[in-house]
Amino acid sequence: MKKYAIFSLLFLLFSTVTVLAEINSEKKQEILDTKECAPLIAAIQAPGDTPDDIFMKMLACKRLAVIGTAEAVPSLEKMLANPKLNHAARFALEQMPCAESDQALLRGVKNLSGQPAVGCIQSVGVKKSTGAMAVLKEKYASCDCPKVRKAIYAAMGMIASDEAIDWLMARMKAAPDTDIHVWMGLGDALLDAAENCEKEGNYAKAIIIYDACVNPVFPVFLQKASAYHSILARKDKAAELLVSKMFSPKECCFTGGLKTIREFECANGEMVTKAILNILEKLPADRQSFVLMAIAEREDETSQKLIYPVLLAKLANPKTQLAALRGLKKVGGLDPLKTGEAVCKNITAETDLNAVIAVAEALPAGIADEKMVELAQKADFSKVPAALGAAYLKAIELRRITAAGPVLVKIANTEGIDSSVRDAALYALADIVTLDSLDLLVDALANEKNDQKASWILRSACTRLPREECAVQVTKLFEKAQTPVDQEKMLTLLKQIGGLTALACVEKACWNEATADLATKVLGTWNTPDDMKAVAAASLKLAQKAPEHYAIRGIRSYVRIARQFDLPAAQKFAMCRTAFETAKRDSEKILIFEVFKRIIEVSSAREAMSYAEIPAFREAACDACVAIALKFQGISEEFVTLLERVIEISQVENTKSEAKRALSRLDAMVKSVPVIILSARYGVEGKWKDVSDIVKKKFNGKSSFGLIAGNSAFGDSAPGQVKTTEIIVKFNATGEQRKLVFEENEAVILPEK
Amino acid sequence: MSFNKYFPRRREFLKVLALSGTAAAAPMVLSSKVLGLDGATAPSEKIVFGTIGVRSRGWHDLQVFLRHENIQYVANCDVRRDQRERNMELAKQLYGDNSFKTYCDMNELLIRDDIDAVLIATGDRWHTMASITAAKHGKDVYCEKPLSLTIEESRALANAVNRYGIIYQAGTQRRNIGNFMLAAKIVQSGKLGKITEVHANTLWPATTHDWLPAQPEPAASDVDWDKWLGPCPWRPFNQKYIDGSWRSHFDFHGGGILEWGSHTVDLCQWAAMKDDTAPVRYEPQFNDDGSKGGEVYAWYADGVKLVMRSSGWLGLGTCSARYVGEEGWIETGDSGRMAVSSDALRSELKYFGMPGTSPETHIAEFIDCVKTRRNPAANANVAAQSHIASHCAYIAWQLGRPVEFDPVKEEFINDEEANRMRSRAYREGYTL
Repeated sequence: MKKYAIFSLLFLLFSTVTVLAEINSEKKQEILDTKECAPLIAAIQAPGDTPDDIFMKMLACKRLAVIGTAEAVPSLEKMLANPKLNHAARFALEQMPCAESDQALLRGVKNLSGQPAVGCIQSVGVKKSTGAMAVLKEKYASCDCPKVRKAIYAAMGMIASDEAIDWLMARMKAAPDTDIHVWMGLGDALLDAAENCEKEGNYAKAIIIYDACVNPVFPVFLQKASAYHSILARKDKAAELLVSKMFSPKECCFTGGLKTIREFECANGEMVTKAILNILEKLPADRQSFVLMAIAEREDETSQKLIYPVLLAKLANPKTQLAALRGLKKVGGLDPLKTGEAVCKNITAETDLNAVIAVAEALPAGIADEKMVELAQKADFSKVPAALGAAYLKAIELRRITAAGPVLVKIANTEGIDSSVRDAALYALADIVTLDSLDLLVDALANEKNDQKASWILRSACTRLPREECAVQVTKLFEKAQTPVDQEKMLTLLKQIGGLTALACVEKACWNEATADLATKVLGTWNTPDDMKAVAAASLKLAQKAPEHYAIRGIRSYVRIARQFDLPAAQKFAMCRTAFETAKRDSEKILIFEVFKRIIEVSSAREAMSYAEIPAFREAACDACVAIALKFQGISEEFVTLLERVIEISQVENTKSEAKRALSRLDAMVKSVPVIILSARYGVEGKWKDVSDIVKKKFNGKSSFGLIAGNSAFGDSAPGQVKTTEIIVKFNATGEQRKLVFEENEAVILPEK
Repeated sequence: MSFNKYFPRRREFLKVLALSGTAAAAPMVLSSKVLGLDGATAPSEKIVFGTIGVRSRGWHDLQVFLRHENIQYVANCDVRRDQRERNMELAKQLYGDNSFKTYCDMNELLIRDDIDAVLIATGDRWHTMASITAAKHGKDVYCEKPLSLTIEESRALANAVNRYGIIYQAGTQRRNIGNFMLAAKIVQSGKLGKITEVHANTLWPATTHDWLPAQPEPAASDVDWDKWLGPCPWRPFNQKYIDGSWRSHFDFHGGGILEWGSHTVDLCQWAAMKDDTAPVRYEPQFNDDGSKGGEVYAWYADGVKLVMRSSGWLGLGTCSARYVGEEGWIETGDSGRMAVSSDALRSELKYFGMPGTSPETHIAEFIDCVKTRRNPAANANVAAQSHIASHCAYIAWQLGRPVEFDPVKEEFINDEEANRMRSRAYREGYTL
């Protein structure tokens, strides 16, 4: 890619240390926002080869891709020959629906060579340009470049006309291309064309192409894909071909056939399944396994009913048992008891217990649950092999059989039982325990030495129990806890449960010298959103009245709520003011600016800048204002004023330069719209209501919009009286300000001039 | 093709435990020792595996792949020499020999007959092109999200995957993570009543057309800048791009809606059983001061509303999703925690210790699918639909006005401006 390397050197010669886009951000914004072709054409026609020129031309092409018309084609066509800008021109031309763009690209194919020609061929293919066939054929005949050949194949595949298909088929019959990638490109183009035939309902032609591609001249995977599509395209006449694939010595043909078993449309399910089941026993066991699973995954009921008894029978064979289990996971529900019995009967030391669990989980509830509890009650889990016992209890857990509670407690408390079985009982218990029996679980965990496991099990139980009642139980456990470790466990659990009962316990602990350290940490990370008002109050109280160490935690917790949680902006600002007044150290006061930065509105920048007069916070305020401005997506004159203030007072060079960048960005946005709303009011003389925000929100830079100036939009400021709406606008082109008046319930349409 | 040997039971068991929320942090219910199923996998049963562009997230994915006994890591492709060397070093440590190969051109890796599957974790700009190229070479693909940068790319990828019959898993792992699976199950069971709204956690949508300042272009053997750019428009080199600052640049990135929408819009489509369609109308939202907000609302043909928003979440972690029905709601996120509207729904919950960012179970499913040839959870067809919905939302946001979309034709209705934004032309030599 020498041309790009040279291009890059040129850029280095010209580029400055600043970001290129900053050189002319106003012009850039103009290009991005314009709805007219003329300025874009002017941009691409402009002389110059500097980085900025190239950047602007590329940008103009991007915009032309969206709004460009035939008038832009001649200028873009000239760029096609320019190796630097060929792609940029095609970026625009390829998206243009006009015939002129097709013709320009076709001329590009004819007249250009190398990579620029490749690009034009690509675009012609994407556009399926009229008249492309003749040009592409001629190009193929006259060019010996592999990349051009590959591009022509791809384009022909996309065009997929009869002529294109015939041409591609003829190429396949010729000697294979010496370049394997080009040759694969031909195969891919043929498959592309065949798919197009299928889309048009021409299955016969598609099958001809697919069958032609099952050809040793192509790589195996391409043959496999062709075979697979050839079967699917045959629809209800596919059985014979599919069956032959099942016996193919080539693994790729077998797996291709396997995929079709899964993908045949439901209407052909019976045909496929019967055909495969007829030959199932003739297949090797491994192939049988794959086939069993594939049929079980079919969505049609007929196939599922046909495969179900086969799967039950195959459970007895160790070679097919795993596949049968995986299949029964899908269709075992057809007769849950029969399935359960058959599975249990065939479990051996070699059985994959994981697959057994999966079958058990998938069976429908009801009688199967009763059976499972009955068996668990009868079994002596100290004598059942540990793996099997644990698997059985895992199935109870996954099925959430609440009736199994007592037997699980019994198993968990059985002396000398294998630890894996005991653990399985505890995990299962956590998933079915009720509020009344929570203490049983706690008791069962009393001797558990693994803290992580115990916490997991308790949390698991509390996740699903009624919140407030659960919190009452855990509060009692906290009060009984003797050691800091146990106290911490319970406080953490209370946070995980959430709710006002849990919070009340934690708040109380914040004021107890023995537990304050733990509790204030927990409060500071409380994450249940509906408790936030209460958490904020508790945190503020700590900030105001607790000893310094905990007061700092309190203020940080309070600001965190404003920063992280979803509250109205006005409420967040009020919280910030309170935090600022309450905090004793600057290191906490300054945290409020992070809150402002997350609210991308003018009001947030305004609020931030209200602290700029305090010397210690001037830079933080300026920094927040600039950060918001750089993300702001709208039109605001107030922002301009705020940013000018930043430039005036900030003593940090980076902040100043970022403010200038933001200002330039906002200015460009303002200039890109024809008219700006300055203010608006609604009502009658003496009873005006300021509706500026509502109108500005609806307006958003458009020259007209669907606002009806009446009570429904603004509220009734003067009941019973006929009101008017007055909007003060400024026209960008002239700077002229004008007052526009609308009658009540009149549609507001703003003039552009 | 030997069936049972492809399914080491210990691994399978771990997978089920993980899906049920037990494996991540809790001690094992059944240890592999108890099961007595530890056994090495013979070389002939391995999945021969390569990677393309693995650096940060991709490196993490790779470590997870390598924990599977079936994986035989043989080759890496990267346009950066330092990354090729890093992979080479890893392979030496793993296998103690020099058989591992590295490439700068992915075609050289993909043309190898011995490679079965590849992990693609390049920057977003390459995801579709690399995946389609891999499909055209018959390789199974696990590709980090997002799968595409445009509507056209989404469809082209799904078509290529279907054409070549490969297994494709989009790296949007949440369809294989317990809390998200349970939330979708609750929605689909009807326990929330008729679904009226689904909410997807997205990020600030904007991208920039700016260029970073030009820097001297390194030698192609160190960083092949032309290949790094791939199908995207040319621009001058800057080290920051290759170190990750390509994000938010329009040419390389699909914006903040897609960044998380590829996960969360996907979750919404899945839970609401709309995997085969996309919303029909998209409306960008505005702030009170008239400025553009970050939210886009969309509606499916049956009236279900899809809300794409960055704020107002319950704090359940990144990539949250919320499902609202006539009889209740449920919200969950990457923390694994779940919130519901009533104690009755609360009783349906389960604690999952696995964070939403973990690819463990997702990769395990991919490996299983490579062997059984079944379609994975985040297959190309469903992922393409959710990406198309995210792209439509971003187009509406860029235009600053509502757009109507026909999900069957995949066209905006009577809207040429929007329709022209469905695709982008590629540089010479790159076609879908």
